[in-house]
Amino acid sequence: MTKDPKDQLNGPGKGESVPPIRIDEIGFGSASPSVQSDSFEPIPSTLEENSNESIGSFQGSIQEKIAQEVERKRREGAFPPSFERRLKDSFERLIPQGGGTSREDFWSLFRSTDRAAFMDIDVPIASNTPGVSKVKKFIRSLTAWYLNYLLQQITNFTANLMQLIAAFDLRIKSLEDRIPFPSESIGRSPAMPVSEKTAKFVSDLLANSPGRLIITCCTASNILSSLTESGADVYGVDTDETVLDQLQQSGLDVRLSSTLDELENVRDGSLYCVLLQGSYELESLGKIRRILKSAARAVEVGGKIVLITHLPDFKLNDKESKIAIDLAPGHLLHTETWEELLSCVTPKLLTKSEQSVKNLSECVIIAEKVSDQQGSAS
Amino acid sequence: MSALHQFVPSLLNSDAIGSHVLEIKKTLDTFGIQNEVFVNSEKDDHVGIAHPFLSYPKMRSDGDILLYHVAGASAMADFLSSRKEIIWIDYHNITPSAFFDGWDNRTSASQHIGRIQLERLSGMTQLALADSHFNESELIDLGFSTTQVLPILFNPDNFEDAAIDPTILSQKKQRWLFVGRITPGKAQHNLIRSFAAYKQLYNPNCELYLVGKPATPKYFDSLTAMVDDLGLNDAVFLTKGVSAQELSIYYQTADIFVSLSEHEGFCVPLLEAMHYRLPILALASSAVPETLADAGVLLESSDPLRVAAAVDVVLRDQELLEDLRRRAKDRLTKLSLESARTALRDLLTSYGLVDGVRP
Repeated sequence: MTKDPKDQLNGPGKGESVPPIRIDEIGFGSASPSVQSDSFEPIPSTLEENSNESIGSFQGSIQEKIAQEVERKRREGAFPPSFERRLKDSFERLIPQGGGTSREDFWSLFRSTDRAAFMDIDVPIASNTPGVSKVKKFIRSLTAWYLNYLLQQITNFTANLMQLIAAFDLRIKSLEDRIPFPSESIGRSPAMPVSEKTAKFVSDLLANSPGRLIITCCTASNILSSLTESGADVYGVDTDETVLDQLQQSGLDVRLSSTLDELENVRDGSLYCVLLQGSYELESLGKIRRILKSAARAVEVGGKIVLITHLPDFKLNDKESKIAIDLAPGHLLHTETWEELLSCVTPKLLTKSEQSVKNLSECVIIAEKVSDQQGSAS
Repeated sequence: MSALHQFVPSLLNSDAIGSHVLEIKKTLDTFGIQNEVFVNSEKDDHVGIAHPFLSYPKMRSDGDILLYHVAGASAMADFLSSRKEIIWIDYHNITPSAFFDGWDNRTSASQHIGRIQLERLSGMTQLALADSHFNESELIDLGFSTTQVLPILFNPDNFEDAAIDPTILSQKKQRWLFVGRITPGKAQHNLIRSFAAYKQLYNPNCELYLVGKPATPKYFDSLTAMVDDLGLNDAVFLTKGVSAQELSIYYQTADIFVSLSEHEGFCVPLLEAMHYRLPILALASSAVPETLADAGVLLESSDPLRVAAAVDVVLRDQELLEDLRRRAKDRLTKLSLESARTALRDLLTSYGLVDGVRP
């Protein structure tokens, strides 16, 4: 798929990092715009040809050394999630809120445009050459009726245009006012609890997985520690740096990252299983679509996406949870809706839901990736 | 014989496009091709070289070719759109407007308009040149039918090597360097994060120099606040505009050049770092991989731990450092001024400008 030019006009969002090009996919040597997967920028080619393989292998060997060093530091616990959080927050708290809608900037631009819209018909007639000034004055008098006529129309047009822009701004402002506050800025979506029964069921299900697993929102259950104990190649992600620090100290492989950030940065087909649990259920539908799509991209053919979901009748009794659920960007969905979403977003998945834990208002949905090709649902 | 006039909104010796324009001018002069440079704002250091673009109609001749250097929105684009002469463009990339959203909405709007102007030129341009294949692919997407890559004419002789104060070198500090405008697309904030991780994990005795003009004031202020917040005031230095001599000193005293820039149409500082035999580590974004090729280490992400680990891997391995220096030298030969001049000469010949015969 080549990149839509409209996407290039838009670029990334504020505070949103640009997906870098993957080293192993750099199309060295091709002069034409490159073909690429859904989730990455176009892959450029080099200025010269003939050196694809040598560059690829040179970069590949260094990447391996870097990956080993990263792994070593993680194992040592030298880069605790709390430190990573501090680095993240040091900049993120400074990102301007409101994006392209800053009124101060808008009115500054509006005023300068308004000044530029004024046109001066009084053409200068001064000249250093004797007599030319008089000629200019004569021409000015001769054409004044014509210029005046044109200027009147242009001035009317620009004045109307400026009013139109101001009116447009008011309409946008009234739309902004109707949005009380962006739901995603209230706070994090609450992590839905996972019962011991469900955690055990999922741990048993994934214990003998033949490849790498990721547990999202890993502090919501003990599945990460169970799977680590059983010898699975597994790591967890979460945004709670305090709990992550403790988990790291107890020897678990954990990363400070949101579910979506992590899944969007994982290589295609590099995981055997993505386990979704915790807060993803209460995200907006748009975000859920992105999470499911990224998960489907990240798992290998034959791999699984496992969802721990809660039915809409699931109740939490404590006050904080009630408020958090009410204010969350999304709401709990029925199992059938999850299956429908999975098949819409990623038709290359085969899904089934497990009845065994349904009686707890929890449900485990297992989707298997049957193909890399879009539209080949079984 | 046809004349080839260059139109560039701003002609500054100190920036990459300004140097490129002046090198093209020198080359055209060598070939005896009549040419002038027209600018939007005439700067003192180029009085006598550049003319205000509105004076072009008085100087025009039949058969003129007008080469417009595009890097943003400009009144020149509207002016050239209305001309009957043959239009060529040289595309140096327009940073996507979204990089500026919230930080500098005026620039954001201007970049958006720049792309609209560029799209409008696609229908009236005979030849669209680009610094890189990355830029060329954008031109093709915008509907330009005849495109060609002409690398930046990079002249290392523009650097004035200066004597270095021996006390700087005696401090034995490890120095990271990045050169580029202070603007969100260059992602200096990710560099500060990665540097903080490196300082904590590998070497407390290190410094980071961010050399470049603060093009986005809000972003510059945020970086300053970030440095303060992380307690790095004595280790991270944001320098504003520097002279050619000062820039040379920064390159000569650095140990590694690290770029986590998220958008580059070519990235001349990579060539400058190669010229100074600095090991290079760069995020593989936009045109960076094709400019750098194997003359440095490409990074898949700006994750602070990964960047810090990569710097350690590179600086710890003397064999790798030597290998990188050798590769940088080879790369620079391929992207040398002579090669670019040859490419320009071939281009001009193919359009009949060198021997005076236009196909």
